[in-house]
Amino acid sequence: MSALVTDGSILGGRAVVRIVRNPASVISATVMPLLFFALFNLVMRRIMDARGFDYAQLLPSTVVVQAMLFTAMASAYNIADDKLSGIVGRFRSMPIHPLAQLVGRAAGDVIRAFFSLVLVLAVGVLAGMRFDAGLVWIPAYIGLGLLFVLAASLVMGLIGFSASSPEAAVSIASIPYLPLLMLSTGFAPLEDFPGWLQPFVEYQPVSVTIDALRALAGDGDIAATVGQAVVWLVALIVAFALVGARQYRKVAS
Amino acid sequence: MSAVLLFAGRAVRRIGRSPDVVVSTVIFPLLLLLTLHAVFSSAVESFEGGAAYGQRLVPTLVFSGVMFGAIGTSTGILTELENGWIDRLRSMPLNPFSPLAGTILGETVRAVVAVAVLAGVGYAFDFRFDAGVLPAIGFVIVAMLAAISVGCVGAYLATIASSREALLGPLNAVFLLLLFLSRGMVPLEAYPGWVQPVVEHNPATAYVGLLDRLARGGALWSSALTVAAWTLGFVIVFGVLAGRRMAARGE
Repeated sequence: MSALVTDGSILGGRAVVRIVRNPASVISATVMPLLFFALFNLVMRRIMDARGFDYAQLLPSTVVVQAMLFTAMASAYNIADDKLSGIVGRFRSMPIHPLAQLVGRAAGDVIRAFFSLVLVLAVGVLAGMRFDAGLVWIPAYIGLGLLFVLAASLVMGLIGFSASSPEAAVSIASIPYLPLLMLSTGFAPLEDFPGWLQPFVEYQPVSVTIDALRALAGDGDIAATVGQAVVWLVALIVAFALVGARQYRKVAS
Repeated sequence: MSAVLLFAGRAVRRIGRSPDVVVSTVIFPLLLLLTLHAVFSSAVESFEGGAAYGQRLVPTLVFSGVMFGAIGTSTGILTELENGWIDRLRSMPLNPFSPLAGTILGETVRAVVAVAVLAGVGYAFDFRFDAGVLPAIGFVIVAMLAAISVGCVGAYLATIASSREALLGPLNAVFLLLLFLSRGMVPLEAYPGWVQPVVEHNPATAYVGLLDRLARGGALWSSALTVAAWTLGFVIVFGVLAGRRMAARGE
């Protein structure tokens, strides 16, 4: 266990250095979420406010989740790059804990996501978002966001592992990304969706997470929504961590 | 000219053979149509008083398909500049404009595919060519002109970019801005007052507006002239700049 912690944190450090030294990654963690935040505000705010869907309060939580998905997609890119360049196999041949690569990667993603999340939240607050449930919920808000990125990057990691190139990883990852984000309660109220689609929109993990984040910021029942989100995310994390660990093991043999 | 067609043929064959390109030309625009319609149709239709959102979305997504397709082409040109393919062509008795012109011409085929797919599926979302057959042909031609214009911009940026990242980031950001700040997603009145002038004079608004009129009907002349002017401007400025950068490489 202590080997896992030591090796994992060394590889986590490597992941962070890689993210910081890559301008594209820094931009996708900072500029892109803020750009989407600004654009959706400009385009949809009047229309949604007219429907009683308060964008100033509700949109930041959507963009937080979107930023987490960007981190997960960047992670898919990096994994594809690592796998194809052979470094994954090379690490496996060294006396390193077999799970250290998975742990290190996840740690790097969570650290990147933390900065991205805090930035989006700060801009959201400047643009009018309020924590009406009380400031004590802010750590829980951040924690739930990071739990989501952990789940998302484990899922996207699977795509990165099996892609033929880093670019292909990102374009394949965008296929689940777009419907999950758009067909969620993130940008429009549930009632706006066609009736047959509403059950999917309501219960899929992106919506459940966004609703829980909103509850932590004062819109909704915290216990019910956060409970649902944590069940979803922990289930995804356990399932995909197991699959991910197997994949790293297979590389060596 | 035959060299241009040769390179155009090459570009077209590559469309079918590269899964990335199929995703960005066919699957991604369709996903956008399905998802944007599901999310925003109720809100925008009630804001506008009833006009079908599908009628607004199809021209917009044709234009956005053209823009995001150009990103792939642009990175393709960058790769060919980096791996020496273009320099190899430069050593041949070939007009330096031909490879670029051919690649950009190949983009028009991608635009036609985007129109076919989006108008076909858009039918289920009440998109119609109400104006008739000739305007519908005009619709396809305008989509092709848009592909040429955007293709010239992408080609020029590829010739000056230092790396893929330096190309992809700005290109994505600029195209997103053009798309969101066009009247294609929501009517002009939905934007805050200070953004409205930007929306009105955005070239994406010009192309999407003309496509919309060619589908629904309406006065064409002034918006056709605006599109002609933008197209000419893009081709002359960026096409020539890109060609000159290419020509300068061999010397």
